Amino acid sequence: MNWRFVWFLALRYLVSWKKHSAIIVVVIAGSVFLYALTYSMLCGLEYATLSRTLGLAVPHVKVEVSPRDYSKLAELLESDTRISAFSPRLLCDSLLVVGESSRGVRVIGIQYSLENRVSKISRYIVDGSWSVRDDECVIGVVLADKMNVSVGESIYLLLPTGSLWKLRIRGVFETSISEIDSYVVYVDLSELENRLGGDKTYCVALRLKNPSEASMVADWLKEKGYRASSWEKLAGNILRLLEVERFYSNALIGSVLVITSLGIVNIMLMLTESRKKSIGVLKAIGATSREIFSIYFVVSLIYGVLGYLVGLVGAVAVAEALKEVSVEFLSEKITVPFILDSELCFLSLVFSIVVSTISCAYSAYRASTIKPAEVMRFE
Amino acid sequence: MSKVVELSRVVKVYGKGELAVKALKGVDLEVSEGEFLCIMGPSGSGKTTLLNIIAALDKPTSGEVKVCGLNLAKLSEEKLARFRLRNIGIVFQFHNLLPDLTALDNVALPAIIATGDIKESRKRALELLEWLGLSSGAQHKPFQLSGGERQRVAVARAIVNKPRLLLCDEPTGSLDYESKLRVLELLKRINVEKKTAVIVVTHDELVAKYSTRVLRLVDGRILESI
Ligand SMILES: Nc1ncnc2c1ncn2[C@@H]1O[C@H](COP(=O)(O)OP(=O)(O)OP(=O)(O)O)[C@@H](O)[C@H]1O
Ligand SMILES: [Mg+2]
Repeated sequence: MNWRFVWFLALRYLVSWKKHSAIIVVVIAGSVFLYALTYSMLCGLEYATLSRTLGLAVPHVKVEVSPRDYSKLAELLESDTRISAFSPRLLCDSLLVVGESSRGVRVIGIQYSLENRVSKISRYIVDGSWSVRDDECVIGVVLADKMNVSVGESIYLLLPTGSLWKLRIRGVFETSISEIDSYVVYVDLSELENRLGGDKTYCVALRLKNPSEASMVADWLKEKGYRASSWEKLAGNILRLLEVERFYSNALIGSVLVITSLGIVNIMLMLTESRKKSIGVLKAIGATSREIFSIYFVVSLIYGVLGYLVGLVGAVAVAEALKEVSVEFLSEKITVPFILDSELCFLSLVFSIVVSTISCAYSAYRASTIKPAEVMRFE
Repeated sequence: MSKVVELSRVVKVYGKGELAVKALKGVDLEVSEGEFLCIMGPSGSGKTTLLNIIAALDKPTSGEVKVCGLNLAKLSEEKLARFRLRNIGIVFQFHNLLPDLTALDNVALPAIIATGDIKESRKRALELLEWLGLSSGAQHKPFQLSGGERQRVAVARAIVNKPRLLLCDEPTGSLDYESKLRVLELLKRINVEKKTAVIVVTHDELVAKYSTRVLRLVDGRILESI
């Protein structure tokens, strides 16, 4: 095997087949471009949906506990370094009444400083402040709009016990998650607890330093006898939707791959066929079958790498220029950033080399099996 | 004088059963160093078949083939390729040059395969082209050369690794009289100045004038020597 000869001829072929080489490189670049852009959007979508949902609508880990056992749990949670914050919540459904109009809402009783460390909700306050105390509440911007109320004004909550609770609006938040903005009313935990009476369950929301440890932490809590679940379980439908999204992207990439490969196979077979006599001569001179195969293989590798570079530069340029796109997902407008990380760059390289070598392998094999005595016989 | 080619009872049958074609029917042949052998014969007599077997591009159905003292039957395809590279130069009737390379690179190619040294191989190729009076077309692609020039470049390529044996299959087949003479003169010069054994198979009577020995191949058998 003489690699210098292989490279020498591979480069000559590449230059000599200018037009076809350019077509193949462009085709590979096109599919790399599509691949990289689709996946960077998919990563962005995953990031955007999860980062908005996680911690706010869905805690990393949720533990259900009765108020009696809460202090024991709190001690346990405080001692664990994986947990960065936790907040007890008391949930109940009730009716919000302002004048003539009313709306069903989800009332969440919280201790405002603890809750803020878990959900960082104070970041989303657009009017007033987050510190709910006594007979105060914080409501979502959509709800405030619909009920036509604002900070400082009063609302009434009709609790499941039948009693009416008058609250002053302390703040308004806007998370842009429509279920939260139109549905949630935050009140003080102990006030709500007093008014509800009877058996209650705290829903303790945990924030972890590393969200990917959620199921580990949940399992650990289950072992200790608590009812705990991780966000992977809680946000299951979002993850499933993302999976569906991923499936369709893969199907798209797959068909691009097949079409691209068929095109390249076609061009390469044509080039091999037209160079049959050349290959016969090379073998008659003294080149081995392995060298012939390698020449075609090196050519295809170069196509793959060139196509990769061109395609990736294109994808990065587009991603940089657009930065983010607005898409509709789960009937919400969300801004999706392009996430083109080094892992994706590496995967694109693998993708383009797989496309080019697989589509060139057959013609390389065909070339290597040519028998000079047969091809040189005819004009 | 040492033998470059030794064939004994070489038989070549193409195909099987009813369709079998017996192209060579027991050929004995010896070629010595420095010889210029011309094998003449009508179309279909087995000339190309014989040459392919000597060049190890094809295997005989039976019989023994020795080239440069080596029994070719025992070598793998890869070893045969390398053996050809160093010991045998081949010129075909058509399609000798790679259309993607310049004349110079075409000539340098066997040296590049053998040594991997592109610069040195090109230098040697250029010297050879100068020696043959072809250096003006060195940078041309094959389609920019005339048929005669192409054949002479092919001859140059066949001898760049200084083989002991030069095989030519109808090297003058598609050329006019003037070009034929120049190619044949070239072959003669190589034969005399480089002491390379030359075997030319052809049905062109003109070749006989340049050769040291003429054999006739008729219907797969060597008939007479002149
Ligand atoms: N691959 C093959 N399969 C079957 N028959 C073949 C094959 N190659 C050659 N033959 C037959 O073998 C015989 C000899 O062929 P060969 O090509 O050696 O003749 P030739 O003397 O070189 O003829 P020409 O002067 O036309 O080139 C012919 O009858 C031919 O039809
Ligand atoms: Mg012939």
